[in-house]
Amino acid sequence: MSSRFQYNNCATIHFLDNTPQHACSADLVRVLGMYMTVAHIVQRVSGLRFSDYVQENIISRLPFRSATYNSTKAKLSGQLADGFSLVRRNVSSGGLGWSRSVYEPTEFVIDPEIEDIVAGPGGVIMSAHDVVGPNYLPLRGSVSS
Amino acid sequence: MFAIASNSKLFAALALGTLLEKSNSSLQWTTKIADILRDDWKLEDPIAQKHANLLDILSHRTGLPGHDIGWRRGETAAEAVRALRYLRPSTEFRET
Repeated sequence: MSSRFQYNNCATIHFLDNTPQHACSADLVRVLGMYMTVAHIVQRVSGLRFSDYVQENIISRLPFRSATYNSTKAKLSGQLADGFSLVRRNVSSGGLGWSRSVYEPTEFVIDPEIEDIVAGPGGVIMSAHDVVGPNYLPLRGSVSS
Repeated sequence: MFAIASNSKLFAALALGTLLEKSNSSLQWTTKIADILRDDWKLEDPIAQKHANLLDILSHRTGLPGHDIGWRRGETAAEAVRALRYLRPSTEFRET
């Protein structure tokens, strides 16, 4: 069990202990509240949806090819990569274990119902070209996540 | 294309920076969250609630830990922020 997993469990218990019943449903997922606060501030001050503000003031002003918060648009593009998660790791075979590990395809995690709430902490969808391009990397070096 | 997940946080920070620039100094990094969000911003720690500013939330020094699963499908960011008042802090304000 990793320390990260233990930490999240601990935080979850504190959270559930102090939270109204409505927030304890099974479809809770992960995020950092302070970046949602940032998104809310941007929306409150600008009057625009956070994702629209970023699209208009950042993404559209840089020569990104594909960056978007719109999961529907990303899916319809036909360019969305399949995701895989590790379900069983084979650590035997003298270092050949990785080749025998089992991966299963996972559904794309972002859909219209959660686009707004994940936008601040984790909503951007983009291509590998954009990630390694000259526009993204200088930005990445300036902020710690 | 793929979701870049937490790498998106740089866009959030940059968005806030551009917002400050557009505000002609009415907003600054030291502007208090309570002055911007008013009743939407309530925390269990009254000191953090009163004094936390934009730098504090980007630096994660309000005293709140990750609480990584503190929202549900269909909620808006505004609703999630209003629920922060129910979360227990793990440290003092600006202790981390």
